[in-house]
Amino acid sequence: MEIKKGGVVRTIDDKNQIEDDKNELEIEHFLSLDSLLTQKHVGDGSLSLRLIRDMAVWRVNNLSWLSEFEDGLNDVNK
Amino acid sequence: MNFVSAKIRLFRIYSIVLAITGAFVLNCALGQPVSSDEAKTATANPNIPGLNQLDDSSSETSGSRTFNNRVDEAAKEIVEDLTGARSSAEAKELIEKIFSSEASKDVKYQAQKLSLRKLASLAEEEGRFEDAQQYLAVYVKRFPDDELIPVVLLNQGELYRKMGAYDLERQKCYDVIKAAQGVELDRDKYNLNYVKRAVLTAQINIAESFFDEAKKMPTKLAEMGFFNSVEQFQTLTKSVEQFQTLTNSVELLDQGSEFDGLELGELNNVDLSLKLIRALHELSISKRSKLSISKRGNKESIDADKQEVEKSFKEVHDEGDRFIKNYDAAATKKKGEVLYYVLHAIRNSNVAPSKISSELLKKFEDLYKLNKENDVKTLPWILKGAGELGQYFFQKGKDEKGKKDEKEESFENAKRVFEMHVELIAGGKGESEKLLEMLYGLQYAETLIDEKIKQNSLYNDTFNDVRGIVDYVKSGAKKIGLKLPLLSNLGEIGVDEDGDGRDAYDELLTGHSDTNPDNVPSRSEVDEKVKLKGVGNDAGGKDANEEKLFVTSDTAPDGFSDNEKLKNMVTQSIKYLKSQANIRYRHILPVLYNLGLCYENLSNIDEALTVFERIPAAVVKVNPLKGEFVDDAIFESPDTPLKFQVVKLLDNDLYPDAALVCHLGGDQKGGCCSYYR
Repeated sequence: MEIKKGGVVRTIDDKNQIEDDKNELEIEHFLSLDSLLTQKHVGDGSLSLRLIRDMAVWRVNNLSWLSEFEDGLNDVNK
Repeated sequence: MNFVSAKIRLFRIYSIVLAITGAFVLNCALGQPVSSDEAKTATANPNIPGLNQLDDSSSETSGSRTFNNRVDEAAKEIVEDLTGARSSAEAKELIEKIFSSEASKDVKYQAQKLSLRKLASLAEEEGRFEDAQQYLAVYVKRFPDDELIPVVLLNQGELYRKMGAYDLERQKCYDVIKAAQGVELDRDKYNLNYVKRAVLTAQINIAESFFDEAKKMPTKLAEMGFFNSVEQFQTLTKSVEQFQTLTNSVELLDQGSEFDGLELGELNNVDLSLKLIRALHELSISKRSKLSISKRGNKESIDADKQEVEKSFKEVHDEGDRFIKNYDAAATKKKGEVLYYVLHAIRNSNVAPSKISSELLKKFEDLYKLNKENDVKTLPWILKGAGELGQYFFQKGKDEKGKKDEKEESFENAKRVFEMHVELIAGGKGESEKLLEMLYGLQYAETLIDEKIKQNSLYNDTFNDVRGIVDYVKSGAKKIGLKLPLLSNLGEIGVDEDGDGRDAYDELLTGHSDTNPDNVPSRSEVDEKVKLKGVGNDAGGKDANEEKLFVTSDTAPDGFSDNEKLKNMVTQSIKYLKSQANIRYRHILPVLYNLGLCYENLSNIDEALTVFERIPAAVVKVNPLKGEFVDDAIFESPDTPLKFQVVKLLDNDLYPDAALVCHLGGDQKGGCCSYYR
């Protein structure tokens, strides 16, 4: 799925925020490292870089969840 | 081994064939066309008919002594020209002139020697090693008692090395040692020191030859070659020390010397010691490699072999320490290389595990400090050392079972090394995303310039709009050792000091002077350099040049072309920065990932998150419809899989509504939003 100029994004982190109060931003420019991870030649190292990127994303999601879970656990124990 | 012998035999046959053709070429070059029968005997018989003819100068019988002197002087001048000849064709022309002249026998005799050496060196420069070899072979045959024979033989040996015939090279080196004993000494430059230098150089070449040959072999088979090389270098180190004591002249060894156009290279203790350490390092690796085979086969001899390997690595360690202690003034890259070998050796030696970590870290810090010298040739050694050491500590942490403190210590050490590694590539702590930010800065500046071009704005207005960004990017690039020369010339745009109609930027670009009105670049010359053609500014289907032609001078304000120049500078800089980003991120990302894993293993979740978030980095510029960017907020698209978390808001004055984000999902391919627009 391509990210297009003009695409709209909304905040999702604040659970108490009601739908209408969410921040809403229109994307004007998106610059990422992804072109490095697009394989141009077999064996150019792109595959392992893409794997590192995907593993990092997985770890961010996982650790964020773990962090939230522990916070929640602490709240319960209080 | 059979293959090598067959190769040598083949090479010898090839040499004979070349000897025939080479002599033929030589005779022709000397202006004496000879039949192929005569050419065949060229190397076997030193009395080559063509050359003998040249020896028989008729000058003895001609005219007065004054006339002869004049002819000789003229011939000597041509000989001088021959020394500086840059191609074989030029040299052959001059040689023909010398030998068709009436010069004396003596002048022609000396010219013959020089001709052969010159033709050989030119052939070598031109990559015709076989021809070069042949010219030198003729020299050795014709002038066996010449004082330059040891140097000529050395030259032949070096040619053999370039041709991959290592054993033939070593044979030539042994010939040098033999020939050096027969040199008739004088009190000038062909003295005892000359002979000793020639012998030492031959010995060094033998050691290097073993090393180079072993390097081309599979690691497990190379042990003998490296062993021979180590042995030679060890003997040589002692010989050079003795030689220095005898001659009491270190300078003599430190400088290369020239003997009638042939050079004897540098001989110094620093280089010898470095070569010895290099050979010891390779020998140790080869031994360890063999050990891994014996581990699978015969278990009984493992202990002895293991001790042998450890001893070998200890030698590298000791020699390396000695080098660092004795040669503090050695070049940074040499110290870097030695410290890398020492680090490698410590990891493989039998130093007590409790001591090894602190020693490794200390040595690594010494290596890391060399980076302050900003030497590009040292950096690869530091990076290599950092990568391997970080991995070593990380693996050690993983392998420690049940010992919590030691496990933690290893991950702590690995973290420290990986952090230093990232700093080496990114230029500072936590600066890994700096390149991305700079790249975004220039792309944003390009967008601003495009808008100004559309509005036909004056150059000064455009420049003022992007000046802050350009300065910020320039200083950021400098910090990480990148140069963006085009961005340094912005002040030259629109300044025409000599009033010739071309500004200082055009003149600088095309290599003309802006202080001389007669030194004006043509329009096409400028366009070629600026490469405006094909750089479309908008979607109008016309490139910048066509559009410029379309706009008449009546309608175009003065600043129009200057804006395009500015855009061109920024575009070129973006291209360069992208290539650098490609190279650097390929190195940084794996190290960052390992660093994150270290934090994770140390149960430092917040730091681990900070590091992992830097891997899928992106810069987003938005148009706030409702609310604004907030630190750490997560944004998601309702209709695409795009999801990102804000990591850092960028400077709002320079880059309004832009932030560095961690890209958590969604692809960016092509179009306006991709990395390569």
